[in-house]
Amino acid sequence: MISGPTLASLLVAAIVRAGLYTLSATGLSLIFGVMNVPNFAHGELYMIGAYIAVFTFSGLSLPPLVAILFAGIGGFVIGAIIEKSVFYPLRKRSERRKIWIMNTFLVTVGLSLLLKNLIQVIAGTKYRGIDSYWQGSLRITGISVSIDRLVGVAIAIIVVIIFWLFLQKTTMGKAIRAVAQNEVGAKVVGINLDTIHTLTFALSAMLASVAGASLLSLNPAYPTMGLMPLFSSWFVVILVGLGNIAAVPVGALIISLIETFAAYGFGSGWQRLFSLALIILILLFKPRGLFGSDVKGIWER
Amino acid sequence: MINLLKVENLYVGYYEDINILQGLSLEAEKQQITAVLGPNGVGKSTLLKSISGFLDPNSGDIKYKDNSITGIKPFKAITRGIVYLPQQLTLFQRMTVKENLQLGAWTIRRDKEIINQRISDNFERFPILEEKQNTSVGNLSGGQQRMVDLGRALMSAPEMLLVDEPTAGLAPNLAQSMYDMLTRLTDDGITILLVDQNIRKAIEISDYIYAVELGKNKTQGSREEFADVKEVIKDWL
Repeated sequence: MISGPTLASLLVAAIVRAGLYTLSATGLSLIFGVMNVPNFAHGELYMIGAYIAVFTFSGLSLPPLVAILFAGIGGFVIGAIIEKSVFYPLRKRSERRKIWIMNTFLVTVGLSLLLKNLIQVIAGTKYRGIDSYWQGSLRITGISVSIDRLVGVAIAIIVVIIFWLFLQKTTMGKAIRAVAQNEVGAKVVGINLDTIHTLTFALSAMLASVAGASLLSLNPAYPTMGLMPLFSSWFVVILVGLGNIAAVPVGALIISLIETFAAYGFGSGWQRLFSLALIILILLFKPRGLFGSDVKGIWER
Repeated sequence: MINLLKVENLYVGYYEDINILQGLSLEAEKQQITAVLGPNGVGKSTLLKSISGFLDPNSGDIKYKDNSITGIKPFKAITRGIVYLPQQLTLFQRMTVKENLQLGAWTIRRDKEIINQRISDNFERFPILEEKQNTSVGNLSGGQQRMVDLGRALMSAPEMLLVDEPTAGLAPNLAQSMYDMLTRLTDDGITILLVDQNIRKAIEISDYIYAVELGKNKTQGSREEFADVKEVIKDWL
């Protein structure tokens, strides 16, 4: 049996993890929903966020929130550049829309390799971490939680809420949803798809970068650090249904709980096995994911 | 008569070397309904797609108000006042009626006052939509969705509507009210280029008619000249 305090601390750990997964997976889901791009370079955008935060926080001694803000802005700009220089020309040349997903999959795998090696050239292979953004910890119902973790979760929750409100309430957010729901319809009303695609990719990159920057004290920056967040984000997105952004927080919590408890019970090497086994089981019975998704793949349009 | 749209010797296809439209030419007069009729697969929809910028012509010219708009981008065509209504509904199914209408005014999105005014105009035009304004479009009937589709197109206050099969899948009484609505729109100053399978009805409401065969002009004339619908249809069979 797990004792009360252990259970509480495991739950806290799972919630922190869920916040990170939500941030990262929301961006991944958005890109798939709007652009039909399965982004396997998403982890590298997370990694870039972590490096920007190390540079601004340790290197330039800027306050933690400023460092995280810079990471978000940096991610946004890099995302926009990647979209304009890679996906925009690819889209113009992809007359056969059916091979778009495979093309973009390969391109993102290449991008992932490129970005990893580029950062290795620039920053080397050493781990670059920080002790903490904010010293100290708080005691919540008998367990001690570092302020870093609490702020990390708070940032995740706030950013996701702001992002959700942006998509639901603003005209630009509605345009992004419109493109995801009916691309031809979006063109019919005069939405410039090129602008929306660039904005979407940039926003998605921003979310991943903020995630990488927020949890820097727990996960130091190094060139291949993006692999695990990439896997986790994909687990969440596949579990809830591709492109189903609203269900991402629920999926993130499910995966986090499974992984945290599996790591506690069987050792951290086993945690992925459990989340993967669950995904396989769910997909066997619900191929469109736990909550389904009516995002249409390009092959259905 | 003022000539709003002029299509000259248009060649368009989905692949570079295969043209669906093979030298089609036509003109559309302001505030009139011009119909393009013909059997399936002659390129009627292709024509509308080319004018609205959804397809790039391989050659030929499209002039709107005497300016060439050949190969224009769809979002630029709308700012010029040309709105395309494809045959298949292209509504945002998981958004409300009101959100769909708001997005119809995308090109003037900062002008909230005008947008609200146009939404009220639409509610006057289609009273049922006011009742259903907060309902997801996916939960509306086919007829109501057609209304949202047309209402959304009117949100940008178009000068010209390119309408593809506006009554496809509609019950006869709803189809009739759609035709009545299109006729009324010309009274409001809108020019309509209509593609329709319902030849009898299309001729009835149109001012001028082009018959197309295999991507080329076959014959053309006023409504009176096309009065004998049976002869027209027989000719195609």
